[in-house]
Amino acid sequence: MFAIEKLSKIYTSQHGTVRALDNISLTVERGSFLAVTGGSGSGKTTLLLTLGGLIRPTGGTVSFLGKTLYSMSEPELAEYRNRRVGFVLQTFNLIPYLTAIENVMLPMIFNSVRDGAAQSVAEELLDKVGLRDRQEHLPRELSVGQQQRVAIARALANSPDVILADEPTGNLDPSLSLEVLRILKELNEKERRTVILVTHSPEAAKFGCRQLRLKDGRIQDRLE
Amino acid sequence: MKLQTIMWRELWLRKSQLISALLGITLGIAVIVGIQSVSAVSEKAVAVSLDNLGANILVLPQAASVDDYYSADIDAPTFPEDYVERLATSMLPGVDNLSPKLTRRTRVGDVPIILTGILPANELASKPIWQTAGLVGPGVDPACDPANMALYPSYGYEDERLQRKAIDSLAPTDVLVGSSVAQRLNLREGQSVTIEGTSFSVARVLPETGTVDDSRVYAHLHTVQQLLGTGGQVSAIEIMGCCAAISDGLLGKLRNILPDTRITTINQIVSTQIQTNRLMSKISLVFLVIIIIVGAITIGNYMWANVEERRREIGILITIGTKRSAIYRLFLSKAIFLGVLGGLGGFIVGTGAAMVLGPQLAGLRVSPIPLFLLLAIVVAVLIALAGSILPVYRAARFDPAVIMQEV
Repeated sequence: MFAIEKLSKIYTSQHGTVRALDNISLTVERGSFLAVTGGSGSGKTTLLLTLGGLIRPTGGTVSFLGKTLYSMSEPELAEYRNRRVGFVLQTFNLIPYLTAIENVMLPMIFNSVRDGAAQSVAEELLDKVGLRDRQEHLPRELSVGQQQRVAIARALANSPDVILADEPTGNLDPSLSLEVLRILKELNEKERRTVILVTHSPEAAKFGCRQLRLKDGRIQDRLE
Repeated sequence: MKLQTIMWRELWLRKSQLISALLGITLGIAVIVGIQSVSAVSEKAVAVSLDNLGANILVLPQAASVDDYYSADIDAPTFPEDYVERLATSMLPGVDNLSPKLTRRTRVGDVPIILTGILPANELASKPIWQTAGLVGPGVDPACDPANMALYPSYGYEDERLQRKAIDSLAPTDVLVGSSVAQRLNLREGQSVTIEGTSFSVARVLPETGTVDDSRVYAHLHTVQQLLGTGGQVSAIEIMGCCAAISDGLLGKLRNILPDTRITTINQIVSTQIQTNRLMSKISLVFLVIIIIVGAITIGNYMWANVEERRREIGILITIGTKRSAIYRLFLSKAIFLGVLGGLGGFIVGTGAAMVLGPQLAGLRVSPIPLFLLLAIVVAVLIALAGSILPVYRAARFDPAVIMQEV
């Protein structure tokens, strides 16, 4: 699904340069569950966002189903993020003034899905994450775990090929973390969606069928 | 759910910010509407006052001079009265009251007078083709209308016709006598006076003006033509021309219609009219520019703060694949909404204030001007858009990866 060749990303600021990704090459098969681990500043979030079409790399290429991501135009990249990728992030979550169901409908609205169809898909997705009865609640009326489940439902809105999850359990207690990880695992096993999970937790990483450990922007270990 | 739903929900969530921004634009537009409403009425009132100074264009025979016109030289050349009809049927915009005159010096006993033949308004109005041309009619509008006359059905003067010295009717045997002549001949209204062997009844003694008019005796044009044996000739046609039209080349157009005449402006009157109108327009323009700048800064400030506050949601929207064009639409539709609401509110407040304060401060009756509603909304929307362009451009350029790392 993803073919990554000699990927590098260098951040330049007035304080100097930081090499966040350093010559990384790997492939991610369709339907796989890849867990990326590493310490703070190891480059794992940069790698995830680069795969998500949000960070233009300094060097190397990222191909998605044979198409080079960063040769796409800005609107094509937006379409890629909207239709092919679902993001689940640690704190970067829901629109505060929209209800749970409206948050889930959001990617579909920007994909020109008709209102009625978007509504019924959103209801199904909220049902899948066990929040059908909370669909009219605003994010602030939901617990942190429920908010993260709404975010997972939103990530699935346009039935994406791949789910990119960046520390999705970072703000959750162990039981809620387990619940979220189980949902991701289910999506991978039952629906054959590709999942790339970035986590600093070795326990969470065990949910992946492949593990990748980064250090200083380089691949330190690969565990199949 | 549509894009607008997101806008409404966000506006509702941040009501206090919305109200303060709305208040800013509403007050700005209210000031513009208020000033424009009062100045439209006052420009009209000034135009009426300036028209009272008299005609501002003279049509004279080719060989005559303005001095001939004032001195009423006995040998002064004349031209056919039909020229009035030619002007009337030309439908030239900016031509108001046409007043043909035949003037000669004569004596009543030992007292020298200037006998002036005029055509009263009721006879001008009785010619259907002139009515069609819109030159005469039941109402008299000021010649120097600064804008579209249809906008201002009334401008607060009940006695405009009198102020403009329009003479509605004059019987063939009646005369209007200037104050100086009346004093020297000891004439009063209702008495008779014999001029050139014909007896006339004094219909009215005119108030003193301190001008040559005090030495005039006005009689019906056709009677004077008979008395002087000039046939259907006149010595001049006085025209009240709109000063804006004069600036736009009205004189040239008149010369095309009457090539064998001498057409001139009465400079003092025209220049006063033009200067007054220009001054008022400039003052209005200065206010308009200041308020547009202040309004745009207010909206810009609000939108900038709003964009900053919404960094996170903009980041979410970009991450889930919202195109930058949709971000523009989201914020600009909010700016348009603010503009429409602010324009509407500003029109109501501004017109209301002008209607209340106009009579008290300027002694003018102000009526709502419907066109200003449209202009207020258009100006407010443009202000809101101008103020929003930079913040919205910034919002659409946010890098979600950077925002995520800020959180």
